[in-house]
Amino acid sequence: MASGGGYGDASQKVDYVFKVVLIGDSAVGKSQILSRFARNEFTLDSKATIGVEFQTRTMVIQHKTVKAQIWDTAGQERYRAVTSAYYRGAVGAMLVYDITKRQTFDHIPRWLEELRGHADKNIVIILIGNKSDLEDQRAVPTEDAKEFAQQEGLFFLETSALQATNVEEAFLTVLTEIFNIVNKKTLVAGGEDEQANGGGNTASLTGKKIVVPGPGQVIPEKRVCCSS
Amino acid sequence: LMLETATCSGCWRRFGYLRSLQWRIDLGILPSSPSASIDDLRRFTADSRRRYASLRKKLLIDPHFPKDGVKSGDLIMDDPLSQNPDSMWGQFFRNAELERMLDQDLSRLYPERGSYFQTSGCQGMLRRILLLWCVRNPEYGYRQGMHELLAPLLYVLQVDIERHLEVRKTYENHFADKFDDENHQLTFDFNKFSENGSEKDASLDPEIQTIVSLSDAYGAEGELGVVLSDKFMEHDAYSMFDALLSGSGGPISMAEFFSPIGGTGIPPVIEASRAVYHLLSVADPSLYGHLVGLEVEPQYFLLRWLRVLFGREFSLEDLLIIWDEIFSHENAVDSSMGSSFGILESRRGTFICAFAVSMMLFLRSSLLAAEFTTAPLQRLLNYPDEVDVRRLLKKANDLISRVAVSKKPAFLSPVAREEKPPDRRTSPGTPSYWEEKWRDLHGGEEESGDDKER
Repeated sequence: MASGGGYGDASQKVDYVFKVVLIGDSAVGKSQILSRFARNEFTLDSKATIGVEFQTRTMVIQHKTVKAQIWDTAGQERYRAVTSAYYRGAVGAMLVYDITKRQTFDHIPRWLEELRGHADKNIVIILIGNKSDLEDQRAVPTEDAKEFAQQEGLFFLETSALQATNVEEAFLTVLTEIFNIVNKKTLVAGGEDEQANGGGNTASLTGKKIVVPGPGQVIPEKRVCCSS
Repeated sequence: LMLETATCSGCWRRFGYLRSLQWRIDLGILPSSPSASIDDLRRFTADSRRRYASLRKKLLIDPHFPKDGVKSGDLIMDDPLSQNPDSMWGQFFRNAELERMLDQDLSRLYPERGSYFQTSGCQGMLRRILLLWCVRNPEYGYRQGMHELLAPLLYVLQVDIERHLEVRKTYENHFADKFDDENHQLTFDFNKFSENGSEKDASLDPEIQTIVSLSDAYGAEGELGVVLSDKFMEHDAYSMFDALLSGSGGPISMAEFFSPIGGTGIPPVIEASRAVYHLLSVADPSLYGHLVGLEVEPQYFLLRWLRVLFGREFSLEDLLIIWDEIFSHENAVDSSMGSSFGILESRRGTFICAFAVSMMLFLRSSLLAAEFTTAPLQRLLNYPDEVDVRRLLKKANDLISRVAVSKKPAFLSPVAREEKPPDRRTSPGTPSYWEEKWRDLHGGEEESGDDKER
């Protein structure tokens, strides 16, 4: 991967803050993906998420410090109560299903619809098939998901939070894409945008329009598959 | 399962030493009047069990075994492929789907206490109770978190039942005295205590006597009236859960916190979250201003705090102490509390909000130090372990006194149960006095509170 970072360093100067939301059905492993990414942990006895939970991780992308602010929500309920706030200012979204439960994949269009209804229309989205370590119980062929991602213009990866497979890659895919978009925008703006040109200022994308290339965001074949 | 000694926070109450009984009284299942006799308690207990038994019989249908062994003869309604949602099979399949959803959460319930909650007996009870409640209350259905409101209720029943068994073992001789040769049953010799026994058995304290008479199989209603009974744990847990969720006619109903629509047009849990921020703005304007400035909306963390009534933020032992206090506040509209927030109209609701504020004040300095939206949220949603919950509870009660005083001085005395030492510096009764007192108290405690948290 292009770059990476340590597991959080509070004293670091932050150039960008990117808000990313995790959505998908209950028990697909959203919280596990997040704890693998933010703390490099996997808890066998994790509880159902109630409401919203948060993690952050600071990483370096092209010599800039990026703070990923990740919002994790309970899967069972759409939590209408917090929906608009949940998506507000989000520049990235991870749409998670469980490769061993067909239903969780079949619900992805609904989640996508909700995302498109509430989030910024240029939000960077990655489809994630989690629990790739359970190959023998697979109920969703990789091809089906890849085809769907292509149609909808989403990135796609299969991950295993348990084995730490592709989790880092998934986040970096989203964060790098957001970074590139923001950077491009900053260049176009000729550095006039005080908020986004670093220099100690923290830049959130809240309320900003970002340009995302159209469909065809599916990442190259070699990165789609499983072994890291 | 660890046997717990009687809680001290509840000791001033009639059955403070039997939490499951005190909670049944506080939740409105058993009579709260101090004059209610043991027999009254037994009769109400038996009635609530009968209600659950008939509900279970009525609602848990298995179409494989039609009731009374007779099919209705209606081919459409009895057809497993029937599309009619009211058909027996339609109901059966809906329940099966609901069960799958429940199991997904129940298998992840209190993993740190899996040796109790993950046993098949316990899981079965939890599943049936939740399933029945959801079938009975389709407007709510099952929402994640409900299972965590149920688990502590079952747990306190279990603890009290074990306590009873222990008492029975220890005082075996009191049971054995009147061993009846004819039917080989153990009965308890009440006369020993009630008439001539009081001097002989001075060692047997009233608590033990009560436990014995609550559990005597020959008392009112016989076995069905045995207040601490492992046979009826499921029945009792259901009635407690139903009372907690429905609110037993009072304004605070936990089920509402799962509902997307409220009477005022906004979800009740959002309204309650705003009420907490309102209290915070009174108690600590600078902390309130800081959080609002960081765009930390109250529901981000209060959704979880409120939905499971602080269950995720504390260990189970501490949670029971918190619930003792919450349930001890009456769940009835109190006109003296007049407020624009529904939840603040009852003492129980006000206490819940005040407790949330107390939790926030404990983290005050680290919250004030936060610079990003998620930083305070991470603190609030990863509450420190080593907190003295009794101090949080005390602070919550102090806060209620203060807010009540600023609105209506006369309300102070009934709420503040703890005796406050008279302050001779200023005369009480004026809002400024109490505001000052609150600041003193709050400023003084905050230092040590945050030290602990580090």
